[in-house]
Amino acid sequence: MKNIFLTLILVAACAQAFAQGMKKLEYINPAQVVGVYKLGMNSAVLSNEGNRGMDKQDIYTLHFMDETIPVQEFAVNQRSSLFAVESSKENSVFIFNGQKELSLVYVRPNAEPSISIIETPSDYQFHGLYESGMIWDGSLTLFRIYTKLGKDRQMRDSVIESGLEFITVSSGGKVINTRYEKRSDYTSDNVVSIFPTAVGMAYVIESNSSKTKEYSLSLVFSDRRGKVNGTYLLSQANTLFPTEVIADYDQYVVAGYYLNGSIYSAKKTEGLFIQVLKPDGGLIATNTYDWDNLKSKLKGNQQGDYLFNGKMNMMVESISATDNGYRIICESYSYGSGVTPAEFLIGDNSSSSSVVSVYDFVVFETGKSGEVTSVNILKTEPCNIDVGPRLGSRGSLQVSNLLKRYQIFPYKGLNGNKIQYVRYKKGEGFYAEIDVLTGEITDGKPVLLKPVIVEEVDEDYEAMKEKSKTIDKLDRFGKRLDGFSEKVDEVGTNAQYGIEKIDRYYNPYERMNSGLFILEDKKVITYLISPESFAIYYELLN
Amino acid sequence: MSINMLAMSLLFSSISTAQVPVDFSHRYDLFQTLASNTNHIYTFNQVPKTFDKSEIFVYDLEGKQLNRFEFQAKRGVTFLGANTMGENTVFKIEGAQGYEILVVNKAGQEIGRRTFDLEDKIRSFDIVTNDLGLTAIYEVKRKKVGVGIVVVHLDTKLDSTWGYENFREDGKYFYYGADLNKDGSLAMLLKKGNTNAYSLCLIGPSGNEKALVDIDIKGLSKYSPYLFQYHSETEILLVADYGSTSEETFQGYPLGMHILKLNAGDGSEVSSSTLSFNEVQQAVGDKHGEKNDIPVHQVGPALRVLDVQTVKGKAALICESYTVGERQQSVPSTTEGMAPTVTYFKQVRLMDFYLLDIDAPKTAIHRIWKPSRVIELEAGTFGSSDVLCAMLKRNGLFSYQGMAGEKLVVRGYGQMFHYFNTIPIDHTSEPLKNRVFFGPKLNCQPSQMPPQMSYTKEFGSSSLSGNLTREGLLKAGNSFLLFNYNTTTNQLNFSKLNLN
Repeated sequence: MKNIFLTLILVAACAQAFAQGMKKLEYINPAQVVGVYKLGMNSAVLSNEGNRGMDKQDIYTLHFMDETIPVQEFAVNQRSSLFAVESSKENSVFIFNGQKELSLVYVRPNAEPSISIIETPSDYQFHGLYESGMIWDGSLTLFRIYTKLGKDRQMRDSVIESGLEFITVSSGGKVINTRYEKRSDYTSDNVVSIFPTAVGMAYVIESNSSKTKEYSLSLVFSDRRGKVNGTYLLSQANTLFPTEVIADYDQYVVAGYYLNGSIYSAKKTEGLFIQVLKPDGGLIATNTYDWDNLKSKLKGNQQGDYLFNGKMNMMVESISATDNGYRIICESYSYGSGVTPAEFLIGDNSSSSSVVSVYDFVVFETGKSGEVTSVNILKTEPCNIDVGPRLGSRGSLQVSNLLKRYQIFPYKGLNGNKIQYVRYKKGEGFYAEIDVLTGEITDGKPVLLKPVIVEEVDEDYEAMKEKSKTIDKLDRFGKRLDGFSEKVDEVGTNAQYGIEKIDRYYNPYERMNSGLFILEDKKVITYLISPESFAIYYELLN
Repeated sequence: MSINMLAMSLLFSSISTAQVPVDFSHRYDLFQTLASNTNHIYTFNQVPKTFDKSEIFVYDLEGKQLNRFEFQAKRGVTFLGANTMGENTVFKIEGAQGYEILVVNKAGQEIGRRTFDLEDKIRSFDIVTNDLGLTAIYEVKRKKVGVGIVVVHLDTKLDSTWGYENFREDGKYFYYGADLNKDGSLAMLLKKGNTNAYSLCLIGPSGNEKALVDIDIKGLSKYSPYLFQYHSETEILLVADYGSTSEETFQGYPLGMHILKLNAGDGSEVSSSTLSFNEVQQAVGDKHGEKNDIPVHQVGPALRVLDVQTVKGKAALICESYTVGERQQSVPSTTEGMAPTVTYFKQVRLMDFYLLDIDAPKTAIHRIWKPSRVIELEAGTFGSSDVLCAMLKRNGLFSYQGMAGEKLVVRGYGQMFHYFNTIPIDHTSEPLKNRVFFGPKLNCQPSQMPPQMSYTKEFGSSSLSGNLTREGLLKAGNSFLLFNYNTTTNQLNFSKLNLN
């Protein structure tokens, strides 16, 4: 009877694990996993299979999180490192920085991967990419610095020119435009954020001279073939930091936060700006709202003192057209050391980590010219994200861009009138949707998968155990010890959380062992890399 | 159906996500040796909870059990292997009555049994078979005469038909290997005493000596033959390693191979080629440097011939490349003041496949890349590369497992698991996307590249000459079977594979 009972428990555990549609990719060595990526309407695991000395290639296999899609394989020149994965609905590309060339590996679910190599011209020094972006049609813009080599007056090898290089690649992997922007003396030019739009690429370039304390920030619009149509200077009387740009027919809508003066003189964020620009960079309308002004536009009896105090930043997550104008969805956040009073009291305040504290969603409704007509705060649980020490050296806009790009903020997407988001608490994430109009929140679904790993048993041993009271007692004692150990762990975790108040850790230089993607068809998929079972578990949440 | 059965079936239907479904499963509390031939799959192991009994289980080519045979000997029973004799399998053991054979028909029924005994002291015993019968070959030490070779031929009913003896005054001959032609002609490779010299002995179907000639090994040092077989009705093929990367005994690996074809009528040389492994590396090996012309290895990896196949109408040697290294592991003594125990591991790194034309091995070498893997054997300081390779071959541990049509069937390690795969013979690298994984996780570090498996194996004879592996592929007739002994459930599982 005990045997039957045991078997039924196993069946129940198994059924629980698989009832919700959790699936797994077996036979995957976590140590070989480079990462898990969204590829349009699919997601897949990239695994490094080692080096092929015969033709000096590094081999990768791609395992889709869909049992109907077979494993794919591709090879790139050895010592190439994966820089980024870009995808649109129909196109996905793995971008590798090689030793002397760039390799673009295009993958589709049921086709052989195809590889495009971008060689470096003979009179140029090779540089790896530092930014990339893909627009909806699959065309790609790649950004890197360039160095042109030549001879000086004494005919010695020398750098004769350097600056930024912009490479536009078609969805078929063909380079359709390469543009070099020469750097002026004593300045450091840098593309700090990019915004793929419906008509091409928009990007923000900063030009910084620490010698002369000169700083300029510009927004550049280019078409789908990489041709620059216009530029708008963002650093004027105020410095505007756009965190979202969209193209709406024949105009661009730009939104973000702004500073009074330059980054060298400003001490706090002043408020929100919304601009409407022509493709050539000409200004159609500009709107700047300081925090007090925004507070006055709050719907109903909402209090925004905490959010609109100048110490908060506003991350514009999306701009979408409405019948009357635009809807701008923002997340409010602050950026600091993350040292809590408890840590300060116990003397453990030497952490070099940076912590991003994310608060509520804020929805701005605007008119056609970007003038704010109403402000609505959608309350959610606050969440503290430890982003590690190395982000601290980056500028605020770069950090914002990075966090947005890797979807570290709770906001994940917009499906109709519903914001899809994941809120983390004590390391556990819950996926939910919040209605922009009503503020109604759906029940959260846990993001972190908890697979039940069924171990094989020797039937004869189980039968023997059933007959032996001693073994049975030992077995039960072992289980009790396991239970006790779990409880001790839980107490420890709670105590640590009580002191640190960190809900989630994120390091852009480390692979994430679990996560969530909103695919192009709005399906939500969550995954877990399991080192114990050498498998990747995944589940569709909607 | 009982509740228990229902529950179990529900359980296994829900968790059965393995890549290879099991066709037959058999319980083994003690699993030791497993092998197959064109007639049967068979296992040999000691009977659990006994010290003097062993058993052979005979299965058909799909893994269904046909019969079981038990043997008893106070000093233990040694399994020496099995041969095919037409549709029958001849099992060789050394038991209570000395050397013994058991003949089993296709249905698994015993059809003959015979004990071999001689007045002379037997130094080694071997049998070779064909469809017409079997030939037993003894290396013996005869009192006041010395070491020699005694041959006895039996028909399929195990009746003696002829005998042959070779005791020479001009020097000792040690038995090295033999093969039997379809017509009953016997070719024996003999080593001339403890010298670096070999002879070929040819015996006709009626037992008459046709030739006993010295083999010209072209003055090659450390000559070590490992493949000796009839290549056709009229030719015999011999492949040997020569040279060594190390001057020390049992260290290093060979520098080249000698491919020799001999006339099966008179033993004369038909063709002879030497192939240095450095030449192979220079031609198709890994290179580095600005001009990509500097070989990666100081000495080219050795090639081991694993099969002879006809590729595009030509006889080709299918080889796998390897290097041999050694690792020492020092385990501190638990007793204070005592020296630590040093364990020596031989590491065989298996690399790529090479297809060589027997008649022109230096031209058009076809290399097929595959991920390398390391097999580590706890072998003390002993075990030459030849011994290691023979052990790997016997245990099916080389990557090459045979041919399925125009494809190489291979096994390997990937993602920390065993896998099998097929490689079309005209490809230049293994398609990793097609791997089929099986079995338990490897017992090595997940971040270790290439992955390696360690096996503990004592060299020398043992009454329990068990398998090193508990999983692998079996060539069962014209198809392949996957076997996997699950050490948790104590089940030996067979899965028939469709590789074409």
